[in-house]
Amino acid sequence: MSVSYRMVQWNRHKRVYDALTALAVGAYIAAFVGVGLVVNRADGGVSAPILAMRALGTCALVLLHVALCIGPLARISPLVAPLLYNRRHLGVTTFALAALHAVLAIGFYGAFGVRFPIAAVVDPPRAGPAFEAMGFGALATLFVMAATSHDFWLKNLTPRVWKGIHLCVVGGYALAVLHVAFGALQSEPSRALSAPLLAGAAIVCGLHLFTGWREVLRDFRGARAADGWIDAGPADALPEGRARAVAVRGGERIALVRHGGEVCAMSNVCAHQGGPLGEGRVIDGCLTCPWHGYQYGPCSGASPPPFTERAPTHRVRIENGRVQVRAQEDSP
Amino acid sequence: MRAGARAVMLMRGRMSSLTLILWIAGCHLAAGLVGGGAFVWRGLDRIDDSAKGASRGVRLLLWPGAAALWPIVLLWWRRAQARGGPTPARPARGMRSLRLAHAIAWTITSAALAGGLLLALDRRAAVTEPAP
Ligand code: FES
Repeated sequence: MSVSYRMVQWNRHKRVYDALTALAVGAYIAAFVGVGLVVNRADGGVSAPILAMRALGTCALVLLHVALCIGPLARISPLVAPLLYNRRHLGVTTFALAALHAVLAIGFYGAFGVRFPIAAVVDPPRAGPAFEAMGFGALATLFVMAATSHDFWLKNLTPRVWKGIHLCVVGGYALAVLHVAFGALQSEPSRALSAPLLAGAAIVCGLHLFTGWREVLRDFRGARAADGWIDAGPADALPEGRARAVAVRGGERIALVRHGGEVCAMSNVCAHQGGPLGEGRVIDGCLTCPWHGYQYGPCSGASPPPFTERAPTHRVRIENGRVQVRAQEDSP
Repeated sequence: MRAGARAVMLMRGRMSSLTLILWIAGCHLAAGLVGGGAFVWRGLDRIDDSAKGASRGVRLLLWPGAAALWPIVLLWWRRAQARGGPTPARPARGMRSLRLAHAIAWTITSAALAGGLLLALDRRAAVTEPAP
């Protein structure tokens, strides 16, 4: 949360996250090139630039898989939620690695300037699906994701449009996998590449299909309003300092929170990226979003000053030991 | 208009669709470097209160995005000028439809990806299998 924009809002968590990412990326590339050089010395096949190109490309692909698994895994287990916090840095790192891979590939196969570099992408020297174009499409998608990752874009495009644009990563991911399948995989007869590629695609798609449709089903099965009020379950089922999301049929989810013995309700949609406030908890007297830590007064829905974010609130009443929430938002 | 259409036809005759797409993307980005650049260095402060007095680093960071989305950012700038102030913040909404869009997008992509991977494996088998 910030009043004015900064390049990166550094804090300890982000520093540790980025340091671990940099360490993992460095170790992966060093191990890939190192092992490759040793193996090559034995059978003398692949040159150093090709090894570096493959190391960067596979590292970007692995990182893309990791970044794409974090979201659905966080929906399955809250233990993964801390990894969501700085996920956009993973995305930007993935783009940087993929861009370096592309520069090396285009330069190398274009004989570093002898052949017009773009010709290597648009005019491949063989028939069949052009894996270069698929890679280019994936890179272009990653560029748009990285270039619009700053909070400025999120705020001004609105979280809904921003999330919609970032949904393009689904297509970018498919293009990246097919780029490998129609490229490197074609000249690799062993299962060393095909097995992890297929397993990775199965895991990423499986996780997103499972959690995605589970959430949609939850929305469709949401509680129906009677006389403008929604039954949100027994009042004593909500522990102090905790929140719970209530799905509403045909409407947006509502977050219930108990603070100081009082049960309050506000929109489940965080003003930042639409994170689920109903999965947050009260920290320092504020309901805190589990994704990136935006905070809201449990009963006012207003962020503490100097911040100006606000989540629309709903009236709450307790009838016969059950919480009832007004379906209509309170007027601001 | 007719001349423009003829130029496109002429270009199409000489280059593949992919080359044409790349040229269009290149021209869009080149225009965006200028239009988006003007926005991040001059217009940014006018459309968003949080961007007032933003550092050079922030502006540089926003430039690539502004270059890609230059028609949108120029529209924001024009609207802010017409309104005489920044765009008011709007609460986040529409997550329900986004969840549905997300599930549908992954369903379609998974099917397409499965088909593509099968095709790729089939091609590889044809290439790597020794001739009888
Ligand atoms: S979605 Fe980012 S803090 Fe809530």
